[in-house]
Amino acid sequence: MTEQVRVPRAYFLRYPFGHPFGEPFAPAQQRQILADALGLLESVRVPGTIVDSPYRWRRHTFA
Amino acid sequence: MTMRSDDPDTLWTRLVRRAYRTALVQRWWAGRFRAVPGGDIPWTPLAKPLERCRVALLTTGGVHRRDDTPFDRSDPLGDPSYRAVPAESASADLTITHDHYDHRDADRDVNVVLPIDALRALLAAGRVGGLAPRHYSLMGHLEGPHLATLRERTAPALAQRLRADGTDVVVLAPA
Repeated sequence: MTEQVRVPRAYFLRYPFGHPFGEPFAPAQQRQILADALGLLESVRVPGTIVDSPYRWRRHTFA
Repeated sequence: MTMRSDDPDTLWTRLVRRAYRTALVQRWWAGRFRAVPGGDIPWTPLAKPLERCRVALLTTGGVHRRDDTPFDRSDPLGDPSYRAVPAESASADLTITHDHYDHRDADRDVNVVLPIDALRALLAAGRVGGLAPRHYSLMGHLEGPHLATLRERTAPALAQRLRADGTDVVVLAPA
């Protein structure tokens, strides 16, 4: 779906739909995902780049 | 959060909402999804350090202030309008009107789809330069004539408002 939409930069999480920033009441997780997404503004050079997140749903410990 | 007692809930909307909680329906919907074909992928390089950028959030998760007009759930083709969410809103000021995705977690913590507190934390940490005065929300799941409305009216109006707000960066979150 993200490929079809063709946004300039995308951060892809293999999370359940309806959870683009992760789990509820998980501020460290939400903040990390938002920071990662914003970081693409600095790192991505090619339009349409989709970066896969390393996080697994409910399996990753966020500092 | 539970449904308000004055909610225009019908058996049909309750069924739809329940159906979208199931993996089967979610897969069917994702497989059926077709984006409206566009031209080249838009590209605007970052013009200044992120630490000096004003950031806005935009979600399709149907978020709006509790005292704002809810999205229209009575039209099965969706509601192509948008809502502005003042950046200073507390998460308790916000609610979700949307029958086509499972937002039970986002109902409990709106940061799941519109990370207003997470963005404030990044501002406090100096990672971003500022908050745009408003974030924005759409109600996803648009069909039929509403797609043209989104493309020809809502999206340009949103872009204009974001520009008028002095926004440098917008984070789009699907839901």
